Amino acid sequence: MRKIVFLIFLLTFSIEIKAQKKTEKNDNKFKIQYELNYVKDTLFPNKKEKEIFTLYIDNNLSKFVSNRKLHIDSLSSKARKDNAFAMSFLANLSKIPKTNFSFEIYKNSITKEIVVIDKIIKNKYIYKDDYKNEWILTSDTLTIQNYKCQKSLLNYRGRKYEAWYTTEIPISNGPFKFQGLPGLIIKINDSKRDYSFELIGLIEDKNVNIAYPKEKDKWLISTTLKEFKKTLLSSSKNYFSQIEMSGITLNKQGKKMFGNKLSEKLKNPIELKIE
Amino acid sequence: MRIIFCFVFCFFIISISFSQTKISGTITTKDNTSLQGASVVVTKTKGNIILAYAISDTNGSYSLNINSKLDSLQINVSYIGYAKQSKIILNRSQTLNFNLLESTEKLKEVIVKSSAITKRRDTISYSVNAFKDQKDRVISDVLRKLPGIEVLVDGKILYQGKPIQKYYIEGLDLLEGKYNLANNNLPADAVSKVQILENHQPIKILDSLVFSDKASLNIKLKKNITVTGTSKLGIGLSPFLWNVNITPMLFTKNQQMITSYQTNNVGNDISSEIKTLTIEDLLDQFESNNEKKDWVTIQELSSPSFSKERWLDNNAHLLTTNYLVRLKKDVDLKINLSYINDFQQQNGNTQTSFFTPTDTISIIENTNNRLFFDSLKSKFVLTKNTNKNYFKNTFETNNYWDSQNGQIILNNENLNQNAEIPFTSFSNKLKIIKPFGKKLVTIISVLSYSKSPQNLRVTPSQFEYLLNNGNSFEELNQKIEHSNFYANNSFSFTKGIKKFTFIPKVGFTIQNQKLDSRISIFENSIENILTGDFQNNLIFNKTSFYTILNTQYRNGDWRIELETPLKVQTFKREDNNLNKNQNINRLTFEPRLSIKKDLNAFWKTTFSASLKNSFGEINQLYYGYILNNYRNIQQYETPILESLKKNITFGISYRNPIKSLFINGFYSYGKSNQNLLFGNIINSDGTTSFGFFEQDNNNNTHNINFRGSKYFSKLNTTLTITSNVSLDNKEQLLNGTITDITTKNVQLKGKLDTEIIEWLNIEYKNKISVSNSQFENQQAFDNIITQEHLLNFNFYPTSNQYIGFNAEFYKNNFSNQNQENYFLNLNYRYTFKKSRIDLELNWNNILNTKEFATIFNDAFSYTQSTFQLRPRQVLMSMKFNF
Repeated sequence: MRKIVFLIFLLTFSIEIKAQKKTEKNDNKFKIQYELNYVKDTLFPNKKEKEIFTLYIDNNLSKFVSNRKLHIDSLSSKARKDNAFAMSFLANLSKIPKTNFSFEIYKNSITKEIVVIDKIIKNKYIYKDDYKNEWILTSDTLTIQNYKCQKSLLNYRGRKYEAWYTTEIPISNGPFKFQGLPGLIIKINDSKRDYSFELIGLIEDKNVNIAYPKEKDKWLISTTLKEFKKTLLSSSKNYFSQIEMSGITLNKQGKKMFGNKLSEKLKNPIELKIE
Repeated sequence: MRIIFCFVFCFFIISISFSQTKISGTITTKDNTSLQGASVVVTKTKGNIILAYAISDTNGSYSLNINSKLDSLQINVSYIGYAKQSKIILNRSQTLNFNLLESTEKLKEVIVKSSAITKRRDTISYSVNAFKDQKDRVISDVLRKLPGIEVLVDGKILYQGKPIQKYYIEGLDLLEGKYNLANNNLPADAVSKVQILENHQPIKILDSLVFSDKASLNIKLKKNITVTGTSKLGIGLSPFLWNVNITPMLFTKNQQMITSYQTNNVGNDISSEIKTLTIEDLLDQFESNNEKKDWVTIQELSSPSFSKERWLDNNAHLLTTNYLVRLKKDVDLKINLSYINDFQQQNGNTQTSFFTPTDTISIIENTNNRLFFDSLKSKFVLTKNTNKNYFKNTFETNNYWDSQNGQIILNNENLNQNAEIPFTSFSNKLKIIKPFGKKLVTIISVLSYSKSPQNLRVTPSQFEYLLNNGNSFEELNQKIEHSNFYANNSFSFTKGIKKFTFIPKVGFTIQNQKLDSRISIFENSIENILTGDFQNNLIFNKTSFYTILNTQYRNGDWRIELETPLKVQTFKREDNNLNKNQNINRLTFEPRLSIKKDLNAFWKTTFSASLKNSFGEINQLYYGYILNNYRNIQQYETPILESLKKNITFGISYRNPIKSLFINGFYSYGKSNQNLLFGNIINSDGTTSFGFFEQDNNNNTHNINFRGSKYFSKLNTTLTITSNVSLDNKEQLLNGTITDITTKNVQLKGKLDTEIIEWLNIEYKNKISVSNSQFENQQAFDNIITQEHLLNFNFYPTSNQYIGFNAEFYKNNFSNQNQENYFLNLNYRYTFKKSRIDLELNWNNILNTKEFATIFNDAFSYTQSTFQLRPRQVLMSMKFNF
């Protein structure tokens, strides 16, 4: 009997040790910043706009999002928390730079699954993106930000990219939907240099915690990339009737005043061709 | 062929498999747990050239195919937090397992250099010469090209994607946000630099408390003194038409001015040019409680519901000037002055039928009205904007010298009306923001005074039985003098506790009004001032002490707002000459509740309920008779109107953006109870006496609204349908009888907007409404059906040309003649790209439709009027900068 009790004791203890081991497991949590220089409108190819993005790494999961969007979201959630009244919230909101990149890209570096949450007007959408990155490795090397990088090429949705990645950081990730190289992408740009991401910051941050989105969320409209782009196009075309649906009547002057923010997104998109 | 292809293919595959090496295995940690996400890289033994790589899967296993003829390879396995392992292996297929050991070695971190954006009060200067080329004429052309700056279609300027908050010229804010006027007219040649002031907080007291990451823009001019401007010139036929706009500007170091002179007789309503458009300013106007009141008018014609350019017969002049001077550091004085002079004519016929339970009385009038508008508005704004407090004082004066002349041929008799409707008002608004502990306290004080001596003369005599024992006389004269003093002072702050926000506000209002009036008649050129009931010496004072608590609650997808205003109100009404008075004191509680709940991404619901008290205004409180227009004379001997209105609204909406389908609908129910019953008495000559009679009564209204829209992406077409059904039930006194009146109204609107081809846009709109009235469940008239159809074709043959063609059709079933109206208009615009001159040609009312008929009906009367329209006209105009 004693032996059995002892055995059970030993067993639970060992389980506990094992469990503890698991929590003690080396957590890989990082905050990586990329700066994007991009051409918003191909009519003005020399006019480059700039935006900074953060890539959060939580072991195999990652989230890629624009810092301006983070700022807007944190403000609106703060407003919700503080229960600030609408006017002051709107006033604050209008002070923040608008982002052209409303997406949140979630990646799983093991399964290579990509889930995107994006927004059109007031609605949030969720879609899976199964597109596989087919990298072509080359032997070119270059040192960027003190990291020894190697060049890799990729044809991705209508653009030809060259990426510089480093095996010194064995995180198979990068900006936007790019992943799958044997190291972190330090710099990536397309051949026309319309879009160019470069790493500007990397710190370890144990507070990073990614809540991977669920497709069955009742606040999200489940869709596909193709359907999402179609909705974006049609929304930009009937933008005003959508605004009018919310009860605001716009005359011609009013329409001029509002402008169409959505059509900006369509001018020179990062994903030119969608299969 | 196929066989050969197959053979080659097979050979290819075989040859690949021959030279391919497959390496696989698992990666584990010290305690033999599998490690997922580790990177396995195979390189040449020298030079680190990557030949193949893999990432370990959820079981920690990996698999690699190497296509190389080398004898030996290097395999490296790494994972963050573990020591990297390397092995030299032979180039042949094998299984290789790795066991990684933890390491404390950290990654090389890259710290983000603090960017310029986080620095405060940064000024970035752009030299205009560096960006300007030959095509650029005005400053907005250059702004467009500056990095980080965007100019939207409407002229709004964005910096780093966010709208700029102030547009300064030489550090001064003349236009308060209406910067288009400067931006589109200021020549680029006059500007030396464009500056961006980052993190700029224009209200300095908020600077330490409310951080601003907004930018402002400042234009630096080349010269100390700059003179520039824009102009538009249009002429046409027939009669001779003109449309002119000249807008010069002047900028110096401490003073700025933008002036505009506009004149036309083409039906452009010039007063819209200086209309208050921002919501904040509109609320200000409402707050000062001194809007122009017309006590007397001539009998006006009801104007058509479509574009004024079709029917407005005007001759208008507008002169406006905006001037700013910086008195000393942080202290600015702004002056806005505008003068409008307009002469408008209306010609038409009116046929009015008054319906009573026993009889129908009809009158026909042939009207020629001349309206003279003359007004001067001025606004003086003094702002002091320092670190310790914010002070803004706005002083406004409005002067009107309006007059009206109306000639009516009434049943073959000539009737002449002359109204003089001057009005003068002064108002002052003071706003102070001061810190009080950590909170900011807002104090607002509004004071206003207005005075209007008005006068109506009517010939020949009216209301003979009432005014002159049934004997006719030559002229009837009504004189009125009304003055109004108003003060409103309040104090408020905001406090947030967890999910609640409280905004308490305390204040008081005082309103003192005085109304003096007398009626006189002219008999044999001798003026006889009528006494007694025909004079008013009324004093009406209102005071109110209020405390308002606004409570807001927000939790997840719930939003609840409750407002609980508690007011102590007193009303004092007194006419010493007539020896009549009334005093009432009321404590009112008018809560308002609104609840919003989002069900999911598609469905949203709203609910609101409110209780509202209202009290009669001075225009329904005078004891003696006043002649408002030649047909209407009345007195109010009844008590002050008191009504309590309850209202409930429920709404639901559905939005499905993927299907481009949007639907929303709401239902509202209102019930009001009041102490006075509205009614009328119609005299045999068609004149009416309206009035209130003491009798509790109820009014019920139901309203259902629906709106749906669908976008067809393949056809590039949007279809929108709106409908509204309303039912209104009330009691009214008609010629001494209390009558139950029910009015039903159904309205249906459709809109189709399509852009199948890029250069052609077609828009079709229609509106159909059906209404009917029932008296004591008896239908009063046939259903009245009115229809409107509009069809627009917009062609864009080239980027600098536009052709617009629009057709309009109006129909009603009311009278036998002139049931249908058709209009056709043609517009053409050409832009000379190089010189940026716009040439425009308008050909209006091509079918030369001369008259338009409208119907108006309410519970006890219906009116059909025809209105003379602008004839077929051609106008050519040119727009350019100078």
